[in-house]
Amino acid sequence: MSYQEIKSIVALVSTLLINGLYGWYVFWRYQQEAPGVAELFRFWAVAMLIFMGVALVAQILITVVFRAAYRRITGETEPSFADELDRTIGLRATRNAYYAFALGLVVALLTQVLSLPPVALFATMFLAGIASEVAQALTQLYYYRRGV
Amino acid sequence: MEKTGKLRIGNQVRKLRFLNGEMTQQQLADKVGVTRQAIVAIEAEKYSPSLELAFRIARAFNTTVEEVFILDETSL
Repeated sequence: MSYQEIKSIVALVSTLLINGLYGWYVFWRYQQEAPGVAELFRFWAVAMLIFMGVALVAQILITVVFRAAYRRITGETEPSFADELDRTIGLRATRNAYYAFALGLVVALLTQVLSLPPVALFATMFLAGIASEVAQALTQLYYYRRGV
Repeated sequence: MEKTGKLRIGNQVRKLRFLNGEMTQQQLADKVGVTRQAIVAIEAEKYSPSLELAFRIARAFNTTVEEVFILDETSL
């Protein structure tokens, strides 16, 4: 299995782990605090802003640990640049990530059209974010394995 | 009616590496400016390189693009 394939699997697992744990924590807090309509937007804005920081730090740590583990286990160094194959696959992965997020956004808006509670809007947008990252990692894995 | 499916393009990269002093995939990758994984994908016919990369690979073997890459006529 190539470096890029392993990297895609690590990205997939870490996305599911970080987003899943943080999502679980936020929904647990939401149920504990039960914010009213006035506090609802503030609650989700704070939750999403904190998540951006948490996700950034977690991704940096995972990248550093993954590279160190890859070097130690395989005795090889990771590619230092992205070539035309990486860029082609990267573009397709980004396209699919946008599709997944756009679909999630439409579903999020539909929750309000169907008069579901506001929490459904934020929860769906959060899930759309996870779906887009999963779509990106899966697309990369698929094209690195099957070819372009 | 004209076929619009993907053309199958074979290649002689592995053979040419062997004939050029058993050049490694990494050596070829360094010569043409891509990662070793890209050479692996090209050899396995999982990736058809850009025209620019095809010329660089041919030049690395001191040959022509037609000697390295072969169009499978049955896929036309």
